[in-house]
Amino acid sequence: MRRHQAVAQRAAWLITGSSEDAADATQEGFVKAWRALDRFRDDAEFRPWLLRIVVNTARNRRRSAWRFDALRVRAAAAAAAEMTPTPEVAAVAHDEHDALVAALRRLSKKDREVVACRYLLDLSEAETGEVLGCPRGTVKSRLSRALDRLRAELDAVHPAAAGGVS
Amino acid sequence: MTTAQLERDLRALAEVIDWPETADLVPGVAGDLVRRPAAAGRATTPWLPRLRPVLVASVVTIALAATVLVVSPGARSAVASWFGIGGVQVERQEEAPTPAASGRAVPPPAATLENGLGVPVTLAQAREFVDFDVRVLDLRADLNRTGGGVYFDQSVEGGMVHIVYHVQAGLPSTDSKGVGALLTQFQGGDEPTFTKEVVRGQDVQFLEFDGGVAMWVTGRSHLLLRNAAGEPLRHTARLSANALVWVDRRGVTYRLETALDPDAAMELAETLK
Repeated sequence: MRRHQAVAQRAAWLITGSSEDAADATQEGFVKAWRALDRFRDDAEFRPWLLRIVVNTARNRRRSAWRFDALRVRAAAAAAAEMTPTPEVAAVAHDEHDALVAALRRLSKKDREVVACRYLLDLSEAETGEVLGCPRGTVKSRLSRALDRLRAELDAVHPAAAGGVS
Repeated sequence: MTTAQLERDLRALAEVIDWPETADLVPGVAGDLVRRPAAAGRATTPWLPRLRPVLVASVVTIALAATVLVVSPGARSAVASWFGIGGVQVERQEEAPTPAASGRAVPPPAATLENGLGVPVTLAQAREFVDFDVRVLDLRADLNRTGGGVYFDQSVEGGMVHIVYHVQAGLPSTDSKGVGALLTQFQGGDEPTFTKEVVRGQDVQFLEFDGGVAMWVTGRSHLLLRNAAGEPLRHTARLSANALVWVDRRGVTYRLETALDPDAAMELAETLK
């Protein structure tokens, strides 16, 4: 269980925006999963099955899910980035991370959830599909459209960010 | 910006997000399984606060109506490493593991219980061999002589101590003739040191015990010792008995196998000193 609780709580946190709600939703989801194990298909992957239960539980707690209200860049990461290569470059990178977060918040909920699963939680396309309840092909097309819209948001607000953060 | 660059930026963002600290949910989930039996576990059931085991000082014995999990063969591969208490990990398998299934040559189970437990030592010697306080049950036993029922097992990191108690008043015989209880104790961390393989049809219940949560595993089981890398070491003889598994406040994992019911097993476990 400890193997999966970090990614599960992160997913729930992205949905609820509250660490306390995320822990509660994850715990509730794990209990549901434990009780539903007899319905688990032997040929399925366990992690996305578990995450889907947690995600659905978290969604039920928050009508406005995946808002990214609490999403912030770590202060420690910003401080570390300032060490290299130059403070100026690091500051730009930090600003662009913030711009990316702001652009993510302006996406639709359907775009936010597929981007969050695939990139912020680092799930595979197949896992993302299992978690969101859609086929892998649908994940690919949704991701493609979401990235187009994200790029448009970045370009519209901050053309300089088109050069990338990394 | 290309799609590849944007994907790279999103992955880089994930690395610097101020993620909340991950809460350890194992005690809470286990506690909820104790507090909310499966039959009552509907969506409308009010959410109960997460259990805080360390805050409860006194021994509590409840929950005979705890969740009963009937193992599904379909869940066999899914639940490996799914749930554990201390150094004991529950895995559910349709059948007991075989040496071939474990992927390497593993000696067959020892012919007798004692043969599979390690080196016979005195209680004083066992206490010198391990870094934790070896505790004993309030039962009649001659633990101060070699062969009196204390065994030191060094096949796992940090060592493991087994104490065999023979049948006596209030302690019925297990399937191993003349043996009433087997108490195993070791310093277990978050990673399971050994695995209790639970075969199809077995039940796992969660009980509130010793200010925390214990697992109660019933029926015939198979135990597989693993080393620190998680590789199977050997099968060990164990009683075909019910096991109470819990962790005390110092992080020592206990496993008590008897033919007792859960109430009586917990009552016996409370006598540890």
